[in-house]
Amino acid sequence: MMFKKLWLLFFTFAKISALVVGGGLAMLPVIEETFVRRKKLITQEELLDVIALCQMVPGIIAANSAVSIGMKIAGIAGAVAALTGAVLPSFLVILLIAWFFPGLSPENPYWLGAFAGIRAGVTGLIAVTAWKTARRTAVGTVEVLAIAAVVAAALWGVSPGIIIMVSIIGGMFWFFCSCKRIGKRLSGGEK
Amino acid sequence: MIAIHLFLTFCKFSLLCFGGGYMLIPLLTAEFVGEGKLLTVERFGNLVSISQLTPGPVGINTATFTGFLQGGFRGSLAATAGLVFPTLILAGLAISFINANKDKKWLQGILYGARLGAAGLIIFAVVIFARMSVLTGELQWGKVPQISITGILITAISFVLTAKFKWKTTWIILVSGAIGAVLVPLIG
Repeated sequence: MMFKKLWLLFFTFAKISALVVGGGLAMLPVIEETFVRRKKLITQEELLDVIALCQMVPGIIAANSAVSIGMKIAGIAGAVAALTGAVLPSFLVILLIAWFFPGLSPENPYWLGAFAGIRAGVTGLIAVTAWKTARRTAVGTVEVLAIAAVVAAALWGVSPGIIIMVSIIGGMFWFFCSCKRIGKRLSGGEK
Repeated sequence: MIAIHLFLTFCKFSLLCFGGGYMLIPLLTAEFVGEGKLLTVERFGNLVSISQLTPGPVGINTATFTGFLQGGFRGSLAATAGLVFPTLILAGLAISFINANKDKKWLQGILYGARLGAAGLIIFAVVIFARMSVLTGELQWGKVPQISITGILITAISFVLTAKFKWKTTWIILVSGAIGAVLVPLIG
Protein backbone atom coordinates (compact mmCIF):
# COMPACT_ATOMS: atom_id res chain seq x y z
CA MET A 1 0.00 0.00 0.00
CA MET A 2 2.75 2.38 1.05
CA PHE A 3 4.88 1.34 -1.90
CA LYS A 4 1.94 1.93 -4.24
CA LYS A 5 1.49 5.46 -2.89
CA LEU A 6 5.20 6.24 -3.27
CA TRP A 7 5.19 4.93 -6.83
CA LEU A 8 2.08 6.99 -7.64
CA LEU A 9 3.79 10.11 -6.29
CA PHE A 10 7.02 9.44 -8.17
CA PHE A 11 5.27 8.51 -11.40
CA THR A 12 2.77 11.41 -11.38
CA PHE A 13 5.41 14.05 -10.75
CA ALA A 14 7.73 12.46 -13.32
CA LYS A 15 4.89 12.58 -15.85
CA ILE A 16 4.22 16.23 -15.03
CA SER A 17 7.88 17.09 -15.37
CA ALA A 18 8.22 15.23 -18.67
CA LEU A 19 5.08 16.63 -20.29
CA VAL A 20 4.14 19.99 -18.89
CA VAL A 21 5.61 23.22 -20.22
CA GLY A 22 5.33 26.47 -18.33
CA GLY A 23 6.47 25.59 -14.83
CA GLY A 24 4.79 26.08 -11.44
CA LEU A 25 1.08 26.60 -11.77
CA ALA A 26 0.88 24.71 -15.08
CA MET A 27 1.31 21.52 -13.05
CA LEU A 28 -1.88 22.18 -11.15
CA PRO A 29 -4.47 20.52 -13.44
CA VAL A 30 -2.54 17.22 -13.50
CA ILE A 31 -2.07 17.28 -9.71
CA GLU A 32 -5.76 18.01 -9.22
CA GLU A 33 -6.82 15.28 -11.62
CA THR A 34 -4.60 12.60 -10.08
CA PHE A 35 -4.57 13.26 -6.35
CA VAL A 36 -7.89 15.05 -5.75
CA ARG A 37 -10.33 13.60 -8.27
CA ARG A 38 -9.14 10.10 -9.19
CA LYS A 39 -7.26 8.82 -6.13
CA LYS A 40 -8.92 11.10 -3.55
CA LEU A 41 -5.74 11.26 -1.48
CA ILE A 42 -6.07 14.97 -0.71
CA THR A 43 -9.02 17.37 -0.76
CA GLN A 44 -9.50 20.42 -2.97
CA GLU A 45 -8.99 22.58 0.15
CA GLU A 46 -5.67 20.90 0.98
CA LEU A 47 -4.52 21.55 -2.58
CA LEU A 48 -5.31 25.25 -2.08
CA ASP A 49 -3.24 25.18 1.14
CA VAL A 50 -0.32 23.79 -0.87
CA ILE A 51 -0.64 26.53 -3.50
CA ALA A 52 -0.64 29.22 -0.81
CA LEU A 53 2.35 27.56 0.85
CA CYS A 54 4.29 27.49 -2.43
CA GLN A 55 4.09 31.29 -2.56
CA MET A 56 5.34 31.70 1.01
CA VAL A 57 8.21 29.18 1.15
CA PRO A 58 11.32 30.01 -0.92
CA GLY A 59 12.40 27.73 -3.75
CA ILE A 60 11.00 26.80 -7.13
CA ILE A 61 7.25 26.09 -7.24
CA ALA A 62 7.63 22.63 -8.79
CA ALA A 63 9.82 21.41 -5.92
CA ASN A 64 7.63 23.10 -3.31
CA SER A 65 4.44 21.47 -4.54
CA ALA A 66 6.08 18.05 -4.98
CA VAL A 67 7.45 18.12 -1.42
CA SER A 68 4.22 19.42 0.16
CA ILE A 69 1.92 16.97 -1.63
CA GLY A 70 4.30 14.03 -1.12
CA MET A 71 4.58 14.91 2.57
CA LYS A 72 0.79 15.19 2.95
CA ILE A 73 0.15 11.82 1.32
CA ALA A 74 3.02 9.64 2.55
CA GLY A 75 5.24 11.56 4.97
CA ILE A 76 8.93 12.19 4.39
CA ALA A 77 9.35 9.18 2.08
CA GLY A 78 6.49 10.57 -0.01
CA ALA A 79 8.15 13.98 -0.18
CA VAL A 80 11.41 12.42 -1.42
CA ALA A 81 9.59 10.20 -3.96
CA ALA A 82 7.59 13.12 -5.40
CA LEU A 83 10.63 15.41 -5.49
CA THR A 84 12.76 12.79 -7.26
CA GLY A 85 9.97 12.33 -9.80
CA ALA A 86 9.69 16.07 -10.39
CA VAL A 87 13.44 16.45 -10.93
CA LEU A 88 14.52 13.33 -12.79
CA PRO A 89 13.02 13.69 -16.32
CA SER A 90 14.12 17.29 -16.86
CA PHE A 91 17.51 16.53 -15.32
CA LEU A 92 18.05 13.68 -17.81
CA VAL A 93 16.75 15.63 -20.81
CA ILE A 94 18.97 18.64 -20.10
CA LEU A 95 21.94 16.39 -19.37
CA LEU A 96 21.46 14.74 -22.77
CA ILE A 97 21.28 18.12 -24.51
CA ALA A 98 24.27 19.55 -22.62
CA TRP A 99 26.35 16.44 -23.32
CA PHE A 100 25.58 15.77 -26.95
CA PHE A 101 24.18 18.98 -28.44
CA PRO A 102 25.97 21.78 -26.60
CA GLY A 103 25.44 24.21 -29.47
CA LEU A 104 21.73 23.46 -29.91
CA SER A 105 19.66 26.50 -30.70
CA PRO A 106 15.93 26.01 -30.35
CA GLU A 107 14.63 27.36 -33.64
CA ASN A 108 12.96 24.39 -35.27
CA PRO A 109 9.46 25.65 -36.28
CA TYR A 110 7.70 22.35 -35.49
CA TRP A 111 9.29 22.21 -32.07
CA LEU A 112 8.28 25.81 -31.36
CA GLY A 113 4.80 25.02 -32.68
CA ALA A 114 4.39 22.01 -30.42
CA PHE A 115 5.38 24.10 -27.42
CA ALA A 116 2.99 26.90 -28.34
CA GLY A 117 0.31 24.22 -28.68
CA ILE A 118 1.02 22.78 -25.23
CA ARG A 119 0.89 26.25 -23.69
CA ALA A 120 -2.54 26.79 -25.25
CA GLY A 121 -3.69 23.34 -24.08
CA VAL A 122 -2.53 24.17 -20.55
CA THR A 123 -4.51 27.44 -20.71
CA GLY A 124 -7.68 25.39 -21.27
CA LEU A 125 -6.77 22.96 -18.48
CA ILE A 126 -6.09 25.73 -15.96
CA ALA A 127 -9.33 27.46 -16.94
CA VAL A 128 -11.24 24.30 -16.00
CA THR A 129 -9.35 23.99 -12.70
CA ALA A 130 -9.94 27.68 -11.91
CA TRP A 131 -13.66 27.34 -12.63
CA LYS A 132 -13.99 24.33 -10.32
CA THR A 133 -11.92 25.95 -7.55
CA ALA A 134 -13.89 29.18 -7.75
CA ARG A 135 -17.21 27.35 -7.51
CA ARG A 136 -16.05 25.55 -4.37
CA THR A 137 -14.38 28.50 -2.69
CA ALA A 138 -16.70 31.39 -3.53
CA VAL A 139 -19.50 30.24 -1.26
CA GLY A 140 -20.69 33.68 -0.12
CA THR A 141 -20.60 37.38 -0.95
CA VAL A 142 -17.52 38.07 1.19
CA GLU A 143 -15.61 35.20 -0.42
CA VAL A 144 -16.54 36.34 -3.95
CA LEU A 145 -15.40 39.88 -3.16
CA ALA A 146 -12.15 38.63 -1.59
CA ILE A 147 -11.30 36.47 -4.61
CA ALA A 148 -12.13 39.33 -6.98
CA ALA A 149 -9.84 41.61 -4.97
CA VAL A 150 -7.03 39.06 -5.17
CA VAL A 151 -7.36 38.73 -8.95
CA ALA A 152 -7.41 42.54 -9.31
CA ALA A 153 -4.30 42.90 -7.11
CA ALA A 154 -2.45 40.24 -9.10
CA LEU A 155 -3.36 41.92 -12.40
CA TRP A 156 -2.15 45.19 -10.91
CA GLY A 157 1.25 43.57 -10.39
CA VAL A 158 1.30 42.84 -6.66
CA SER A 159 3.58 39.85 -6.00
CA PRO A 160 1.87 36.54 -5.09
CA GLY A 161 3.75 36.24 -1.78
CA ILE A 162 2.39 39.61 -0.59
CA ILE A 163 -1.10 38.70 -1.82
CA ILE A 164 -1.17 35.47 0.20
CA MET A 165 0.18 37.28 3.27
CA VAL A 166 -2.54 39.97 3.09
CA SER A 167 -5.19 37.29 2.42
CA ILE A 168 -4.10 35.44 5.53
CA ILE A 169 -4.26 38.55 7.73
CA GLY A 170 -7.58 39.71 6.29
CA GLY A 171 -9.01 36.20 6.31
CA MET A 172 -8.04 35.62 9.93
CA PHE A 173 -9.62 38.89 10.98
CA TRP A 174 -12.87 38.07 9.20
CA PHE A 175 -12.80 34.44 10.38
CA PHE A 176 -12.67 35.41 14.03
CA CYS A 177 -15.22 38.19 13.66
CA SER A 178 -17.82 35.90 12.16
CA CYS A 179 -16.60 32.44 12.96
CA LYS A 180 -19.97 30.82 13.46
CA ARG A 181 -21.49 32.13 10.27
CA ILE A 182 -18.53 31.01 8.15
CA GLY A 183 -18.59 27.60 9.80
CA LYS A 184 -22.26 27.23 8.95
CA ARG A 185 -21.82 28.45 5.41
CA LEU A 186 -18.78 26.25 4.76
CA SER A 187 -20.55 23.16 6.04
CA GLY A 188 -23.54 24.15 3.86
CA GLY A 189 -21.21 24.47 0.87
CA GLU A 190 -19.66 21.07 1.47
CA LYS A 191 -22.82 19.24 0.44
CA MET B 1 35.39 20.79 -4.65
CA ILE B 2 33.55 22.40 -7.53
CA ALA B 3 30.61 20.12 -6.78
CA ILE B 4 30.38 21.27 -3.16
CA HIS B 5 30.67 24.89 -4.21
CA LEU B 6 27.89 24.42 -6.79
CA PHE B 7 25.67 22.66 -4.27
CA LEU B 8 26.01 25.51 -1.78
CA THR B 9 25.56 28.21 -4.44
CA PHE B 10 22.31 26.66 -5.63
CA CYS B 11 21.12 26.16 -2.03
CA LYS B 12 21.55 29.89 -1.64
CA PHE B 13 19.65 30.58 -4.89
CA SER B 14 16.82 28.37 -3.73
CA LEU B 15 16.50 30.29 -0.47
CA LEU B 16 16.47 33.62 -2.34
CA CYS B 17 13.94 32.49 -4.88
CA PHE B 18 10.35 33.43 -3.97
CA GLY B 19 7.46 32.65 -6.27
CA GLY B 20 9.04 30.33 -8.77
CA GLY B 21 11.88 29.48 -11.12
CA TYR B 22 11.87 32.67 -13.15
CA MET B 23 13.37 34.47 -10.15
CA LEU B 24 16.41 32.28 -10.69
CA ILE B 25 17.44 33.95 -13.92
CA PRO B 26 18.59 37.30 -12.44
CA LEU B 27 20.40 35.41 -9.66
CA LEU B 28 22.22 33.20 -12.18
CA THR B 29 23.08 36.21 -14.30
CA ALA B 30 24.80 37.90 -11.37
CA GLU B 31 26.79 34.78 -10.48
CA PHE B 32 27.76 33.22 -13.81
CA VAL B 33 27.33 35.69 -16.67
CA GLY B 34 29.71 38.40 -17.79
CA GLU B 35 33.35 39.02 -18.60
CA GLY B 36 35.74 36.52 -17.07
CA LYS B 37 32.87 34.36 -15.81
CA LEU B 38 31.47 31.05 -16.97
CA LEU B 39 29.08 32.25 -19.65
CA THR B 40 28.72 34.98 -22.24
CA VAL B 41 25.42 36.83 -22.52
CA GLU B 42 24.48 35.07 -25.78
CA ARG B 43 25.33 31.63 -24.46
CA PHE B 44 23.24 32.31 -21.36
CA GLY B 45 20.28 33.59 -23.39
CA ASN B 46 20.41 30.44 -25.48
CA LEU B 47 20.57 28.29 -22.35
CA VAL B 48 17.52 29.99 -20.86
CA SER B 49 15.47 29.57 -24.02
CA ILE B 50 16.37 25.87 -24.26
CA SER B 51 15.30 25.53 -20.63
CA GLN B 52 11.98 27.13 -21.47
CA LEU B 53 11.54 25.00 -24.59
CA THR B 54 12.10 21.66 -22.95
CA PRO B 55 9.46 20.20 -20.66
CA GLY B 56 9.89 20.39 -16.93
CA PRO B 57 10.43 23.14 -14.39
CA VAL B 58 12.53 26.00 -15.77
CA GLY B 59 14.49 26.20 -12.51
CA ILE B 60 15.60 22.55 -12.66
CA ASN B 61 16.50 22.88 -16.33
CA THR B 62 18.71 25.95 -15.88
CA ALA B 63 20.36 24.51 -12.74
CA THR B 64 21.22 21.25 -14.52
CA PHE B 65 22.57 23.17 -17.51
CA THR B 66 24.73 25.60 -15.56
CA GLY B 67 25.99 22.82 -13.29
CA PHE B 68 27.03 20.75 -16.28
CA LEU B 69 28.92 23.61 -17.90
CA GLN B 70 30.75 24.28 -14.65
CA GLY B 71 31.54 20.76 -13.48
CA GLY B 72 30.28 18.06 -15.86
CA PHE B 73 27.92 15.34 -14.69
CA ARG B 74 28.82 15.76 -11.02
CA GLY B 75 28.37 19.50 -11.34
CA SER B 76 24.89 19.15 -12.78
CA LEU B 77 23.92 16.69 -10.04
CA ALA B 78 25.27 19.01 -7.32
CA ALA B 79 23.54 22.12 -8.71
CA THR B 80 20.17 20.40 -9.12
CA ALA B 81 20.34 18.77 -5.69
CA GLY B 82 21.32 22.14 -4.19
CA LEU B 83 18.32 23.84 -5.79
CA VAL B 84 15.79 21.44 -4.27
CA PHE B 85 17.42 20.49 -0.95
CA PRO B 86 16.32 23.56 1.08
CA THR B 87 12.78 23.13 -0.28
CA LEU B 88 12.65 19.54 0.96
CA ILE B 89 13.49 20.75 4.46
CA LEU B 90 11.38 23.93 4.55
CA ALA B 91 8.22 22.75 2.77
CA GLY B 92 8.44 19.44 4.64
CA LEU B 93 8.58 21.25 8.00
CA ALA B 94 5.75 23.59 7.01
CA ILE B 95 3.46 20.71 6.06
CA SER B 96 4.18 18.70 9.21
CA PHE B 97 3.52 21.85 11.23
CA ILE B 98 0.15 22.31 9.51
CA ASN B 99 -0.71 18.62 10.00
CA ALA B 100 0.17 18.77 13.69
CA ASN B 101 -2.04 21.83 14.30
CA LYS B 102 -4.89 20.93 11.99
CA ASP B 103 -7.57 21.26 14.67
CA LYS B 104 -6.41 24.56 16.16
CA LYS B 105 -8.75 27.43 15.56
CA TRP B 106 -6.03 29.97 14.69
CA LEU B 107 -4.71 27.69 11.95
CA GLN B 108 -8.19 27.32 10.50
CA GLY B 109 -8.37 31.10 10.40
CA ILE B 110 -5.02 31.31 8.58
CA LEU B 111 -6.00 28.64 6.08
CA TYR B 112 -9.39 30.26 5.46
CA GLY B 113 -7.64 33.40 4.20
CA ALA B 114 -4.83 31.54 2.43
CA ARG B 115 -7.32 29.44 0.43
CA LEU B 116 -9.18 32.52 -0.81
CA GLY B 117 -5.84 34.02 -1.88
CA ALA B 118 -4.81 30.81 -3.62
CA ALA B 119 -8.15 30.56 -5.44
CA GLY B 120 -7.65 34.10 -6.74
CA LEU B 121 -4.11 33.27 -7.88
CA ILE B 122 -5.38 30.29 -9.90
CA ILE B 123 -7.82 32.57 -11.73
CA PHE B 124 -4.95 34.98 -12.31
CA ALA B 125 -2.87 32.09 -13.72
CA VAL B 126 -5.53 31.65 -16.44
CA VAL B 127 -4.95 35.26 -17.48
CA ILE B 128 -1.16 34.76 -17.54
CA PHE B 129 -1.39 31.62 -19.63
CA ALA B 130 -3.96 33.14 -22.00
CA ARG B 131 -1.60 36.07 -22.53
CA MET B 132 1.16 33.62 -23.54
CA SER B 133 -0.97 31.47 -25.82
CA VAL B 134 -4.09 33.25 -27.09
CA LEU B 135 -2.46 36.64 -27.56
CA THR B 136 0.82 37.22 -29.32
CA GLY B 137 3.21 40.10 -28.72
CA GLU B 138 3.20 42.68 -25.96
CA LEU B 139 0.04 44.11 -24.45
CA GLN B 140 -0.22 47.89 -24.74
CA TRP B 141 -2.90 50.38 -23.80
CA GLY B 142 -4.86 51.72 -26.75
CA LYS B 143 -3.66 49.02 -29.11
CA VAL B 144 -5.71 46.03 -30.23
CA PRO B 145 -3.69 42.94 -29.27
CA GLN B 146 -2.70 40.39 -31.88
CA ILE B 147 -4.67 37.19 -31.53
CA SER B 148 -3.33 33.73 -32.34
CA ILE B 149 -6.02 31.67 -34.11
CA THR B 150 -4.23 28.40 -33.31
CA GLY B 151 -3.93 29.45 -29.67
CA ILE B 152 -7.68 30.15 -29.34
CA LEU B 153 -8.54 26.94 -31.17
CA ILE B 154 -6.35 24.70 -28.99
CA THR B 155 -7.41 26.43 -25.77
CA ALA B 156 -11.09 25.92 -26.69
CA ILE B 157 -10.54 22.27 -27.68
CA SER B 158 -8.66 21.61 -24.44
CA PHE B 159 -11.37 23.31 -22.34
CA VAL B 160 -14.23 21.38 -23.94
CA LEU B 161 -12.48 17.99 -23.92
CA THR B 162 -11.62 18.43 -20.22
CA ALA B 163 -14.83 19.97 -18.91
CA LYS B 164 -17.34 18.13 -21.06
CA PHE B 165 -15.74 14.86 -22.15
CA LYS B 166 -13.50 14.27 -19.09
CA TRP B 167 -10.40 13.55 -21.15
CA LYS B 168 -7.25 12.82 -19.16
CA THR B 169 -4.80 15.71 -18.90
CA THR B 170 -1.97 13.62 -20.40
CA TRP B 171 -3.91 13.16 -23.65
CA ILE B 172 -4.92 16.82 -23.72
CA ILE B 173 -1.26 17.86 -23.50
CA LEU B 174 -0.11 15.40 -26.17
CA VAL B 175 -2.93 16.34 -28.56
CA SER B 176 -2.33 20.09 -27.98
CA GLY B 177 1.35 19.64 -28.80
CA ALA B 178 0.57 17.68 -31.97
CA ILE B 179 -1.98 20.25 -33.22
CA GLY B 180 0.48 23.04 -32.44
CA ALA B 181 3.34 21.35 -34.32
CA VAL B 182 1.15 21.11 -37.43
CA LEU B 183 -0.81 24.38 -37.31
CA VAL B 184 1.60 26.95 -35.87
CA PRO B 185 4.15 26.66 -38.74
CA LEU B 186 1.25 26.80 -41.23
CA ILE B 187 -1.00 29.62 -39.99
CA GLY B 188 0.78 31.06 -36.94
